Formats: sequence, C-alpha cells, structure tokens
Amino acid sequence: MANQRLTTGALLRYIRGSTTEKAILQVVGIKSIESKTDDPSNASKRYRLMLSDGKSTFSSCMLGTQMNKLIETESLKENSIVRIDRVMVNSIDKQNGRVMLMLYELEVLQSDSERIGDPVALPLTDIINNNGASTNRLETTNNNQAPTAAPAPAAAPSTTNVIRQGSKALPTLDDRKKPNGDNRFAGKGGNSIDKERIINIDTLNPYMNKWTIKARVSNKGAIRTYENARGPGKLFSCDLVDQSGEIRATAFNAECDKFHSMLEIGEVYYIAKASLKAANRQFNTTNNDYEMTFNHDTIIEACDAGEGENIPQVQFNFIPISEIANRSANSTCDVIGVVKSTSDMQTIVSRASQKEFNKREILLVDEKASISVTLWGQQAEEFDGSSNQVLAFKGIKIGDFNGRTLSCMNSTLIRQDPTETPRTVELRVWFDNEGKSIDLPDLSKGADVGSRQTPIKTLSQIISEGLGLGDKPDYISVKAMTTLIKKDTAVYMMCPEERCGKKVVDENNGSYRCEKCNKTYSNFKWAYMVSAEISDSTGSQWITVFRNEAEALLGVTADEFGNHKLNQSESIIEDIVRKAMNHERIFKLRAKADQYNDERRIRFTCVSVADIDWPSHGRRLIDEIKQMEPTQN
Amino acid sequence: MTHHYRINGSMIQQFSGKPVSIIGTVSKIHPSGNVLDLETSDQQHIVVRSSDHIVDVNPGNIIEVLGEVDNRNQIACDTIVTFEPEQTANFDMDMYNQAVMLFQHYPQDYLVNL
Repeated sequence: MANQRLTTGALLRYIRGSTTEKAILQVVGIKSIESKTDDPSNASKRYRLMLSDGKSTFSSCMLGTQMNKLIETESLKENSIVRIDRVMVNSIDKQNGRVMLMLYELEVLQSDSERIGDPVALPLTDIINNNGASTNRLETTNNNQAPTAAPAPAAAPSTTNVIRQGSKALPTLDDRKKPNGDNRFAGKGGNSIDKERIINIDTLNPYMNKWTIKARVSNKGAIRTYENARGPGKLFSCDLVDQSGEIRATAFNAECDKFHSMLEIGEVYYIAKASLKAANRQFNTTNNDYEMTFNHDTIIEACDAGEGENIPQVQFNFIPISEIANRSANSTCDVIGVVKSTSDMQTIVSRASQKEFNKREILLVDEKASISVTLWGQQAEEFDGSSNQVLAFKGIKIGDFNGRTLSCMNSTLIRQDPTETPRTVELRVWFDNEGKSIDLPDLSKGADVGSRQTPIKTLSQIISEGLGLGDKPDYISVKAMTTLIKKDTAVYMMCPEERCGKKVVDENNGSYRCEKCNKTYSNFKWAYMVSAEISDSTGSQWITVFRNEAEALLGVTADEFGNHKLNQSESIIEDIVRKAMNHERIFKLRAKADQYNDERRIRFTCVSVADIDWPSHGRRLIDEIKQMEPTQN
Repeated sequence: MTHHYRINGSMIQQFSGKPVSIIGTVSKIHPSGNVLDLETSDQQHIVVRSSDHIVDVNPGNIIEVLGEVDNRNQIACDTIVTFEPEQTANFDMDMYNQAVMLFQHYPQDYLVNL
C-alpha cells in the first residue's frame, strides 16, 4: 500500500530521458564522495544517493551541492521520501550503461519513514539503449564481475554543479560493484542473515540485491590449487540444493579456506551475499543458468537442527540408460541403476602423463538397458558391488568407447540406495524379481557391429581421404550394397593342406598340384575369393571377400558353391548371387596399397559383413545431423 | 500414389486436409470395428476412422496409417499398413519421432516425389 506513494518506474523513465516528471522516490542509501581538491569547506562535498521508486533502485544519483545542507541537518536521510523537482541525465557512457541522474532540485516530503517495498537494482540491460546493441558486452561485464574499464576514482568536480562529460573522475555504475549486494549501501544489520528474505534457488540471478537462500550442500569437492597469470590460487566447489532447484557455488583463496572446512555435505545452511554469474557450461553441468561465487561479503550460517528438514538431499534428473545412446560423448547426465556385476581392480598407465590410475568397471542395469560405468582411484578401490545395490550418479560423464560408457569425474556424486527417489525401490523390486537373470541390450558393446573403433565412411571418402595409401592399412566401415559379383571366379580350387591356401593346378587326371607345398594331392578344397563391387550413394568400390565373410555374403559355403559350379547349375548360382546383391549391409574393409610389378594399387579386403542395425544407425545419423546444426544448446 | 507427409500427433493441425502417413501404436479398437485410437510417435492420442472394417490389427501393434486429416483433427484413413512382429521388434519409436521432426525442419533436404 505504501508503494503507491512512490512513483514506480520513474527511475527508468528518468534514465531514458523523460526528465520532466516530478517523481516521488525514496532514499535508500547515502554516500559522501571524497573531493580531491583541498577545499575544506563543506560546500564542495558531494553526496551520492541510491534512490528507489518502490520497485527498482538506482545508485548513481548525484545530489546538487546546494542541497547538501538537507543531509547535514538530517532532514534528508536514509528512507526519506523526496519529490524530484528538477533532474537531468548525464550519460557518461550510455553504451555501457554508465549514466547518472543529477538531482538539481528536490523537496523532502517525509524525513523519517519505513523502507517501502523490496526494490531491486535496475538491470543494466534496461538502462542501455532499447535496441540492445550492447547486450553482449554487458553479459561479459557481469560475468567477469570486473568493470571493463578501470574503476574511476570517486572524485567530484570541485565547486560547480556541472559534471564534466566523459571525465574519468566520475564515479561509474560499475565502480567496484559486485553485481549483487553493493556494500556501500548495506543497510543496518548487514552482517547477519535476514531470514525473512529467503528465496528459492531457481529465482537467483545476478541482478538481485538482497537475498538469502536456505540450501543443503549436496556435494562438496576437494580443494584444488591452480596457477594462472595472476599467480597461484585455490578453490573448491560445492552444489547447493533446495526444493526449487540446485546451483553450483565456488569459493576462491581466502573464502576457500574460510568455507571449505565449515560446509559439510548433507547439512543445510543459510547463505547470503554471494555473487552470481552465468554458469560456465564447460565445468558446470548443474541445472541452473547461473553459478555462485562466495566472496568477501558472503555470509553462511548453519541451519538449526530441524529447520532444514524440508530441504531435499540432492536433485536428480535421471534419464533411462537407453537414452544415453542418444546423448553425445563428453556430456554429463544423471542416471540410476542396479550394480549387476563388478570387475576387478585394474591399473592402467596414462600414455600422456605416465601416471598410474586405478579403475574398476561396473555393469549398471535398469529395466531396458545396461551400460559399463568406470570408477576411479579411491572410489574404485573401496567399491564393493556384491550386494547388487542401487547406485545413483549425478553428473557422470558419457563416453563413446564401444558405443556408450559412463565414467566418474571428480565432481560426480554417487549415492547408494538413495531414498529421495522412488526409482530405488522400483529398481530393487525389478532386479530381484527378473532383472538379475535377464540379459539387456548393452550400450557398451559397440551396437554397430563392425564399426567398433572403425570409423564409418562413405565410399567417396576413400578417394578424397586417400585411404590405403599410407604405410599402414586403413580400416573403415561403409554402409553399402553389393551391385556386382563376379560369379565365375567366386571360388577357386585350394590346396587341401591346412594353412596353405594356394591355388592348385588341376592336372586333369585326378591330381592337383600345389606349387607352394611342392606336392601333388588327390583332392582339393573349394575356397572363396569373391570379387564384388559395392556401392553407396557416393560411389562404388571393388572389394575382395574371402572365407567366412563370403559365406555370410552369399549364404552358402564355398563347398556348396563349388559343387554347383562343377554341376554347372547356372540357375542356382544366379539365384545365390542375386540374393546377395542389392541388399544393404555394413562392410568393414581393410585398405592397403600393394606394389604389383610397377603398379601401385589399393586393395580392399572385406574383414566383416554385417546386417545393418537400423535403430543404432538411425541414432548415429541423428547425432551427425545435430552436429551439423548451428549450436543451440 | 500421392505423397503422404509423415507426421506425428502434434503436427496434425498443420496438415488439415492433406494426405498424411502416421506411424504409431494401436491403443484401442472401437467396438464398431471401424475406428481405432492410435498413440503417435510423440505420445499423443489420435482417432483414426477407416472406411473398411479394421482387420488384422490388435492393441499394442505398431501400424502405419495412410489417409487425410479431417476437420475434426482425426484421420480419415484409406490404408492401414501392418507389420510382422519381427519387423517391429527393434523399432525405435522415439527415433522415428525425431526423424519426423527432422523432415519438417529440413523440408528442402527431405526428397519426395523424385
């Protein structure tokens, strides 16, 4: 009700240039500016006011010196209600939102008053030109929490009321101001938590002035040291959660020491006066656009026992294991499942750092799929999966080795049999009844047969990428169909000697001579050496298919084929060949250059043939399409 | 045969009066035998009216419906395509839904009527 006494919206209107309005505003802060001149008389003192219109506050309001006496006689003080009779806007740097309101004439309507409303600082974006031309620069300014220009010394011009345009001597909007909580205008009792102003974590943003949250520390990392251009430093991060959401908070150096030992995982705290900035998605995967930094003014108070009961332990955003197939590698997710089996501890040495790492792999299952999860270091050493417990992971990293795998990071939170989610009981019941005995599709088993660690390429890429020309053979997979098969030379008479493989000469008298073994045999074996042309939408390529792969391709053994050939059963052979062609499959090929007399040719051998797994092929295509789209996330 | 646009439940209104193809799971067949409820790839429920008596279709089956969107946002269907269990066992409905949305998103890249 008292709000109606103040002219809401007036501050923004003034800043935008409508200065004829005689708004009624409230003084919410007064600061005197040191003058750089030696003039001892009070007439040169300059007062800077923070004014409120009931909804918003603006802190760059300079009081005309002729009204200094109002402050000195305490007629004008904090919470006084004033009417602005003459005001002008001074745009020092409108692009960056550095404007000031010059109060030339005002009248105190009411000296003493209660604070009206709960005004919040005007966001800089509102102050800047409406076209938003400078918004991007503004974001950076806020995120770095440092003014983009050097903070100006707060000197006032000596005796005149006119502010020199563009002078560096003028205080700026961002002058050493943290986006949140300007200390110089801290009200009384600014050193303790204001429990009346508790808000939800999901409403936190950098433009808020006074707030308090009541949150539980759901995860706390160890202190880490780092070095940057400014020297060595240390930090730790923790995740805070309340009933509305979660947010990551980080403390550096002094605050790191101050708060790391104080904050305990699982406990609830009141927190106020921390800085907020846009979340750095590279390191922070919590479900919040912003992240918090504890600074010099941050206040943290433990919650009394019993007061924090309504705050959840942790916020999970589980996805089913099968959904992980659709997520990209190096992203993180939350997942829950039952530990079906655990591997032994393995020690691997990193090629890059020569350091030894301990790891252990768990097979995690849910009702539709299973996936391999890697634990590291101490977690791996201490893990015991013999009770097939339910494990929940928050912020676990997705990898694409052999399909999809999960790997714990430093920041991953692991909870055993978590009580916050009904999934624990659901999974337990399902596993004990059926899950433990069934085999589920395993995302970590290379869903694309034949494309494990071999890249999938198009046939035209063979030429464009010069595959096969190097010293080592290249292995690729292609999705193609057979368009031609040389059926007359599909099989040959092979030496019956195990491991010989050489073609024998038919001596037409029941004997077959093998030059390699230097022996004559009375029999031979039929063997496949199929020359086939495969094609995809980009081109075609002749390949050679031997043994098992040829058998898979043609559907009959070499022996059968050979017999048909001997019997001159042309129509049967044509039937076989026809069935093998024009049918898409995944071919895994080995490309290597051969020197044959003077010619250097690339030979393509088929290493495996497999049917196409359409669902995983489709998912791969969707992934590729998404990667080609301009990034939106 | 005219081209039927592949759509999901949320696109029905946009395609009013046009020939469409919808793949979904049968949730219910009405006692009349001419009408069925279909759960589309984006988990919406639509009504399909067939000119002929519906045969060989059971709740839980995945089918493809070819027809037109009428003015009540239902499908007036002239053909129902049924599949063998082996054909639908591995069918990833969610991926099909993503494909349908991609077709809409990139109509210039989705070739029809070659």
